[in-house]
Amino acid sequence: MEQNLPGHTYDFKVLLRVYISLLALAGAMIVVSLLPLEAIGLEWIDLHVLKGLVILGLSIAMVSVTAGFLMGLKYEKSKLNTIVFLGNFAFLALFITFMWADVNFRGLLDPSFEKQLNWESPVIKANEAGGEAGSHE
Amino acid sequence: MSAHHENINYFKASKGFLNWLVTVDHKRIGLMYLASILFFFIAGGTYAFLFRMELWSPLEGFMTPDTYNHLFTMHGVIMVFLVVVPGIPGALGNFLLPIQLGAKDLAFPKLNITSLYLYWIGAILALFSLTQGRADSGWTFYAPYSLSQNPAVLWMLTAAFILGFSSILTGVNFIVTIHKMRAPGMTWFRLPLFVWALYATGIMQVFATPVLGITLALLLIENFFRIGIFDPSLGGDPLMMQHFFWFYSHPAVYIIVVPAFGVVSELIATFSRKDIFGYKFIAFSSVAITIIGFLVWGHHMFVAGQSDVAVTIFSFLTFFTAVPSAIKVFNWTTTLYQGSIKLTTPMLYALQFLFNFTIGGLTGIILGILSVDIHLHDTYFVVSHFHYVAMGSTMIAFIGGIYYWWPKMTGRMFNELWGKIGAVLVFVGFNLTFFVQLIMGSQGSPRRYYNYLAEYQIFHQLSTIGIVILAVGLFTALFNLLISLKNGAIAPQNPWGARTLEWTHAETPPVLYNFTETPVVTEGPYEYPVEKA
Amino acid sequence: MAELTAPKEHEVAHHFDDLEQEFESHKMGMWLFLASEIMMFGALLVGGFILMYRFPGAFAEGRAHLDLRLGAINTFFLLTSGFTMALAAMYGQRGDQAKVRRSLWLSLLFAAGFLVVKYFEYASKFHHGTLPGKAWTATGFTDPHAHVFFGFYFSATGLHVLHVLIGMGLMIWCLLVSRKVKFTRSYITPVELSGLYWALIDLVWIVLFPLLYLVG
Repeated sequence: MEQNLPGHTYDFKVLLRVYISLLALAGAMIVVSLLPLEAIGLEWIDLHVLKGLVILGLSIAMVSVTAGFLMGLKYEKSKLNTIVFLGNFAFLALFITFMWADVNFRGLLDPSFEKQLNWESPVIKANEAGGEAGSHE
Repeated sequence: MSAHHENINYFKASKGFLNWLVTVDHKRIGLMYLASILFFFIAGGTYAFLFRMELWSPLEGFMTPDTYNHLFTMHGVIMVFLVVVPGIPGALGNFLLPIQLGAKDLAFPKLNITSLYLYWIGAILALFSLTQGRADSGWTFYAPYSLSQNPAVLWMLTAAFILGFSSILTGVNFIVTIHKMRAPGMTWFRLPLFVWALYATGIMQVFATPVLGITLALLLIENFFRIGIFDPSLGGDPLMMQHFFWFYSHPAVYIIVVPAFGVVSELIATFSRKDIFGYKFIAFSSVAITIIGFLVWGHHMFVAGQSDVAVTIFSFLTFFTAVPSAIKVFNWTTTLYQGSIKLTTPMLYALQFLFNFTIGGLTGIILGILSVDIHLHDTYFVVSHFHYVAMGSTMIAFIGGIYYWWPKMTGRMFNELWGKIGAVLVFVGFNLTFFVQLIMGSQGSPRRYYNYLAEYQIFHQLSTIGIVILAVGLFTALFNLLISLKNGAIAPQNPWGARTLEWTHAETPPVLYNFTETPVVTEGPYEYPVEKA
Repeated sequence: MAELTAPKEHEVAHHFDDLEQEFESHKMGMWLFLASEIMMFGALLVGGFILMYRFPGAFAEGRAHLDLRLGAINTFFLLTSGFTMALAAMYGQRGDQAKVRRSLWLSLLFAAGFLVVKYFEYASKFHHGTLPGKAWTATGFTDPHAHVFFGFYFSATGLHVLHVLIGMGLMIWCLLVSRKVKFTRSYITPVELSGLYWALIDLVWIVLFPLLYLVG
């Protein structure tokens, strides 16, 4: 009987649809990233941030489709593996949030705090050294 | 033929050195971990002994400052990565988890021996680093000092990376085993609390250790390729390295101590001959500390240069770490109340755990107070705090557990009098060594310093005397166990009268697949008959 | 080539009660291991996002020097090989050993394609001198942190390539196993677990690709 067999039965049509939708989402990501924002020129919203959010959303959609259908989370009887998978993102969200809380607010009380030490950027150094030796193509 | 083979005790099931090296039997693997960990505990302790001798005098003793830096680095790396992190899960967890669940083995026996191999490889690389120079960066490997391409440091980073995988795979194995391999009737709330502790530890091992992995990998990459992520001379941020490092290393301290909590629950229930008070609270508090432990890593970096917003958040969240641990201490103490207490050697270790952990936990909260930590950071106060929890709590519980389960693992009883003598010496020696450090630190004496001001000499000398007593106590405890292998009385199946499956259903020592018949569980792990007063 | 011995039925390991418990345990074990991989890569990517936040100019400038077409081709290769790995599991369930092997070979082919494209991308960086730290010789970049972008690029893609190689190793392992053990509706564990690992490599790329090549 179907329900006593381990795991779920893979279905070609489902896999094909998943594959095509992943290609479409990836394509959409690329298209959105190439949109000329100046041409759209909306003033009431920061288009760069919106673009970033849309791409993030498409990314999340691709991850969900892959995890749900290709990796089988949608078909599992127990939710345990799903909890483990989502738990990862909870921990990572924590990591980035607290690091951002550090990096974003440095120098709040003492503005001179963020003054860069004297350091030599290899990029600037190379520009000064190889200016006449031809630039990159 | 195979049925007969399965009923032989696990020592006799196969013979020869090679059969031990390639075994997949969790019991043999547990013993090999135990031997390895005790070896490195002695090695790490010897490093400490040496630099404590140096610290007898405030200025130069008998070693150079460079040697001193190397010694405390080796002490830290060995103790953290080769002793306390793998310790209880590797040695006791491996041996006992399947038996306490009523299972034949862990879910992945071959993965288990792989974890041990990785431990050995990491250990060998750490020892190899000794031939490549002197690692002197401290076990915390902070950038930019750890970016100076010291070959010994580079080998240490690699060793720690491999040891991380050993830890992750053990965590995976334990979590799946607990979910999938429980005997019939073994519901979640009939699990021994040691199992709950190992489960919580497994979660931390799986989710936190990989971040250490990437940190060490990035340090190696930065050392070789100088990409400019941590190195300020290339535009990098050394503080980012600390964020990466402590994101693992704070949960790591709970990986270190939570299994000890599990052992203590077992010891206190058995030797009070009483059901643990507040079983569910203790079980859930292990899970709670697992989660809270991921939220507080920045408290190791209060004076490193984080933003004021971040340090405030971290300090506030750190206070919450007190709650689950306090719940445990209250519940254990309440379990003792009106219990039928037997002051056996393992119980002496459990009781000194309660004392030491209370100090360790409270000093941790003191350090969590942002304004106070500005004065206490990098002083002996911190050193004392973490030794109270890593040594005075974790190692003490570990030794108590080894004593408790020694009859089950080896089939021999140890000498009770010498066991008690060892336990008392350890208690006195440990507290003498580290209590004075609390005082010293609160007066401002910095840690990791080769020289110190003359006014602190009395504290250092008391501390050094303490470590001598501690060493005598530890060796007494060890030799007592080793001698019992030859001279000890043959142990009965359940010398302590405990109620968990390893005592009630498994032989002493257990047969190859742990049980002659799969146990069926019908009651909780600590259901002692209520004795009328 | 003649089979030396016909593939045998899989036998459940002695410490498990039945096939279902064994399969679910192995799957859970793989998900937990994947969790550790996600935390490792995820932490690295978090570092990347923080770097992007601090040095937006460096990332914008760096991205402009990456070839989006090559990135897109690699995305196509990985998504396709993810599809063929899932097909391998499907054919395994149908007991079709030959089609399982064909799907595995296709997956290997696309994975190899990914590596070839990566080789060209790396070669171009060596040619232009956009290399980490002291090896940096490229001129014409204006952002002082541009080298950090490329350092991150190499670290992240390098670690990813390492895992692609491991994934390919798993595919080869499955090919070897398919000669010894019969796949059935009830038993496809090696292919299932390898497919999960390969899908993880896909997942990492799905986040890495926009971070490195897109978003602006």
